Amino acid sequence: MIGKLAPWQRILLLFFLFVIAGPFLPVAVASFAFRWGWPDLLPSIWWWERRDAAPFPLGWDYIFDPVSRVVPALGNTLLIAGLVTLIALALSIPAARTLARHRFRGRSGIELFLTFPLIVPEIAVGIGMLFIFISLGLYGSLWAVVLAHLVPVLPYMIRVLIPVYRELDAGLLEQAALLGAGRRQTFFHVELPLIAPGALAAALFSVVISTNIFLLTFYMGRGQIDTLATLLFSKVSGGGALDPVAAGLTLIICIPGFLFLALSHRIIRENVFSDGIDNS
Amino acid sequence: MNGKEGRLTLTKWLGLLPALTVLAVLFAGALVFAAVQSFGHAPQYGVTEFPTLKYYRGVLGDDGFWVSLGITFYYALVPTVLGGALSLALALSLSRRFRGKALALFLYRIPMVVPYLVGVSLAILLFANGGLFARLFHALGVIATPADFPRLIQTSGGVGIMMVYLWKQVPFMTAMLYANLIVIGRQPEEAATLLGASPWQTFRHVTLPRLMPALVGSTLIVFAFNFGAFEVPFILGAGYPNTLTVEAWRLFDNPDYSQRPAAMAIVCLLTLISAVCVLLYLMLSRRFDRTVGRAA
Repeated sequence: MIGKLAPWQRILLLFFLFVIAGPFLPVAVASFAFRWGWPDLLPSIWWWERRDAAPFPLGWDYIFDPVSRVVPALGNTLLIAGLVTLIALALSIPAARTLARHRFRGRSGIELFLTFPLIVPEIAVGIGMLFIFISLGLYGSLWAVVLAHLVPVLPYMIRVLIPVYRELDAGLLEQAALLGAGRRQTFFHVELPLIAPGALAAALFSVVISTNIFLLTFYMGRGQIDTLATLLFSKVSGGGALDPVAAGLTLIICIPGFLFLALSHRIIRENVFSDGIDNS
Repeated sequence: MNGKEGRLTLTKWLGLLPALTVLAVLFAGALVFAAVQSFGHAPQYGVTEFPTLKYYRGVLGDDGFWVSLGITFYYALVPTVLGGALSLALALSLSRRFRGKALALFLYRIPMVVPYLVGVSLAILLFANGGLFARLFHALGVIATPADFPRLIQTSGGVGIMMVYLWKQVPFMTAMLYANLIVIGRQPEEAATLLGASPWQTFRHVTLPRLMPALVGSTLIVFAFNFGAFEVPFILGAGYPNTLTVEAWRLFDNPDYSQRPAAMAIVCLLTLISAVCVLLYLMLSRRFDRTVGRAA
């Protein structure tokens, strides 16, 4: 029957999932290796066999050592992502509300304009934007990085929030108004709680995007502002094999994304049955 | 309530204004700056020849540009086409009922939320000449030394680059197609089957046409991204020839600042070509829609 998985589909799916998740296992192994040279399929010396020399796994020891600059980079990454997300939320919520509720001349033009940053190469935006920050006197500062990140984040966030506003029951807002709530009260006590789950998903998504941006961070930060992405870039662009430090960094930089998946999975699972059980 | 007709009053514009201002200044402004500089107005770098086509002539007259353009298309197109076909098969499989579906739906999204640089790390670990695949072939007695393993990364062949693209983008395209399948529902397919259509006929005449908009949209985004991607080809590609983005990075990185307008010319051409490709693709898919609509 239609709903069942054909044998070839089962094999395809298993292969697909293995290819996606499988490579993370050797990365984790690499981060705990003491020595893992050619042609060994597994490390010839694990870190715990050399606890006398390395009380802590080498890669992780280096990562948490001030020399590696990973901990400040982690702080920068979170600070930038947090600021970007707050600013983007403040700008996107009113924009999405207007775009979702009103039909007006020029709306499709604005929606088209919002897709451009997804299509124009990042490097074109990046090297053009340098001048704006040089003339603003912000070049090389954290704020330049934050503002630059808004370019890829804002269009995504507005796109995520428009359907949230479309599904919002406007009747509830009218009832609040009828019951005598002021505009401010309606917004903070009715509207904001109603869009909160959607806004949370959008915020998490924004953190993920911001964490992942390398080129804009590197250019606007003048190469001086370390984030996890710029550190991982300089670590792996040397070529050669993947050392324990690069492996550890690779795992750390995945954390925001994994958190996003875990949290959004929960939100999504609650909604799964709202479309009817027969859909799967 | 949704979509009140009419003109936008000032208060409503105020909602859009901040976001649009930021994008107009930073995004549109950046592109204007890049364009102006590519025509020779870059006093910061000691270049004041505006307006001149010198830099475009220099870039377009260089054979290296055309080689790089070919490489850029090659790296962008192959994973888009392969990935689109693969995603179609995967989305159809995922939409079926099976055990462990919740786990599968969780796992397959992983590449979507991690940076491309993670894919680069994985590619180095697996495909480098001393990497895991080389070691596996050594253990099986196929090769003796790392040098016997074919070069998959740091060459212009681009296998490693395209692998990273596929790893990151097949889940993305699958997710877009899968979301569409859920919205469409099963009824049209069931109806076709009841009317005696074979599985292939059902796919070809019922499912595929309905998925076309999502397929076009997702391949479009993926192609445009690959066309302008930087980190992956920079790290996993050859020193030369490589993509136009890498060429632009090199020129921009040159200690001789007077090279920078040439970098601007390259990124402007890159943006222009990408936009033309996107438009052509959209026009072709519209036309295809119309012919299919007429035939059906």
